[in-house]
Amino acid sequence: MNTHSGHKPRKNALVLFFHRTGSPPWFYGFAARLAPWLWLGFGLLAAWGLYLGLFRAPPDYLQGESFRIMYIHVPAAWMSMLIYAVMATFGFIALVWRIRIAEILAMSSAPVGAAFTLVALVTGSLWGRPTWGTYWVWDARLTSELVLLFLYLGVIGLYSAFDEPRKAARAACLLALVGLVNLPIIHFSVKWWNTLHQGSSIGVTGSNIHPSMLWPLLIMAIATKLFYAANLLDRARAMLLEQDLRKGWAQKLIARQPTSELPLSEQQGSEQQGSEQPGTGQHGSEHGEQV
Amino acid sequence: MNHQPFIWSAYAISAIVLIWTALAPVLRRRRTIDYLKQVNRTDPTHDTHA
Amino acid sequence: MTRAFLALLRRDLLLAIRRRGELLFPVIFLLVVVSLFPLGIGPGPALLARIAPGVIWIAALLATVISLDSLFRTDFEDGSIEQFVLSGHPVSLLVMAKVLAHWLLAGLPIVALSPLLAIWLNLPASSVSVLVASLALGTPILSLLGAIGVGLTVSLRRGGQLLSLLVFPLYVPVLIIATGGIMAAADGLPYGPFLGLLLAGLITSVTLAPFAAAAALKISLS
Repeated sequence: MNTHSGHKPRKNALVLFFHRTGSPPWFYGFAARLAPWLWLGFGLLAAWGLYLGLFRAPPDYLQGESFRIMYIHVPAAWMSMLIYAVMATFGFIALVWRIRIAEILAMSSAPVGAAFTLVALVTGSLWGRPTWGTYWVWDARLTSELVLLFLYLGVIGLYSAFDEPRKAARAACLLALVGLVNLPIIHFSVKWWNTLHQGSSIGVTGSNIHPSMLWPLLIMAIATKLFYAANLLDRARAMLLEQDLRKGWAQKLIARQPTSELPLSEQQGSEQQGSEQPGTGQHGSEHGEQV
Repeated sequence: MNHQPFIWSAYAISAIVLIWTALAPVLRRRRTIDYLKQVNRTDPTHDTHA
Repeated sequence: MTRAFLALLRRDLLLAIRRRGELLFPVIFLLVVVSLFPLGIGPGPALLARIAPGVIWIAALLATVISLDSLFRTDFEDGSIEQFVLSGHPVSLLVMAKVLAHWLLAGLPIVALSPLLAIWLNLPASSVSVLVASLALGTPILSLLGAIGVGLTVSLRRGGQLLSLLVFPLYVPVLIIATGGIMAAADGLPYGPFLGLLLAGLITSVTLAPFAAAAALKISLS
């Protein structure tokens, strides 16, 4: 191709990759090819982790069986924080370099992060009932998770309040960054507030974790990361298509698509929120499609 | 106290939330494609640049 | 640059004074909200004394958010903000001027009224000075952080509603530290560290928030 100065081929490939992600049709195809593998990895690891956690780990000395909720609660809590950091990173890239795919990835991350935060809150509450006796305590972790949920809802709400998608994304990314700066402050102040008011002192993870209890936790931690990656790619694809409906690459794509099975009456204009519609099956084949 | 109902409901609710999270973009993308196909079918010269 | 800052500050203050009725609204709101609590909870002095720091601070939060929306909205709608951005002066400086005006008009009355609220809620005398100090240090932080939220929502029709959702998570640390200090003072414990943290928060907000708010305004204008 060229005989430029000594760029190492490896570095070139990485730069090339990043350049390519900026092209909507390329990214669309890339996400379509990668996502199914991520889902497969998630499925296998989650099945294995849950099997070990629910059926093989011995009951806890203090908490009995209820500690098994930990295998979904703790990874969900970890993801809620990780996704926020990733979302803010995408947001930073989007604001500084005005890269559209970064905007899309940031906005696609928000609902997933909110979902994990909700899961962490609900499972934490259900874990608390047999452990502490009540469905809700204002302990440091649950309270922090609640504030985090509000931060996510703020980003999602702000994004959906604007008409123009790119402006909406820029505003929401700025909010996400402001929230990121505040996040450690919020965490420390809530933790400290909790000790101040002598809240519940029982740590939900207990003191020493036996290895056989630890493995399922680590497996679930990796599984949830794969879930996030796969879901993120799916959401980015959907958003790209919605925004680029009129562009040439999208039109060509549609021409190659098989005819849909949905009855005519259910075909509506694209909406921003994926509200549930009982389609006629065919969910399973989605991830095997070529598009 | 029997812990089983709590464990089951925790995992059930998590499953519902996460499955919905996973499916929503898939359904959305399909609806977008169907919308485009419908528009192309009923009016091939339709200018979506409006 | 200082001239631009002072000119804008003077303009905002003059405009507000000419609409004197609007000045009173945050004050009245604060008084009403605080008086609702004894009505809703019961007049028991011991209970009121316990919740007083939180109630007063939460009422201050609410009053600030409500008055914040007007901070930029009318200027945005008549195009003044656009003129500010085009003027060539640093937008963050102009934001600072507007935030200062807002604090003088909305935050300072809260600080001034707080002893009255302390009396209503039976706050122990030892902690009243800490209450006033915490509000004096904290209300500017509320104005500064709120300006970021307002900058983001000013172009939206229902921006005011979204504003509270956006800024409340940011206000949580301020609330915790301020009320923690007041309660420490009520218990006879040292309150210095709390006020110190508030001061640190104020300095950080003054340095960083105007830039974030300026960026938000530029996005809203685009």
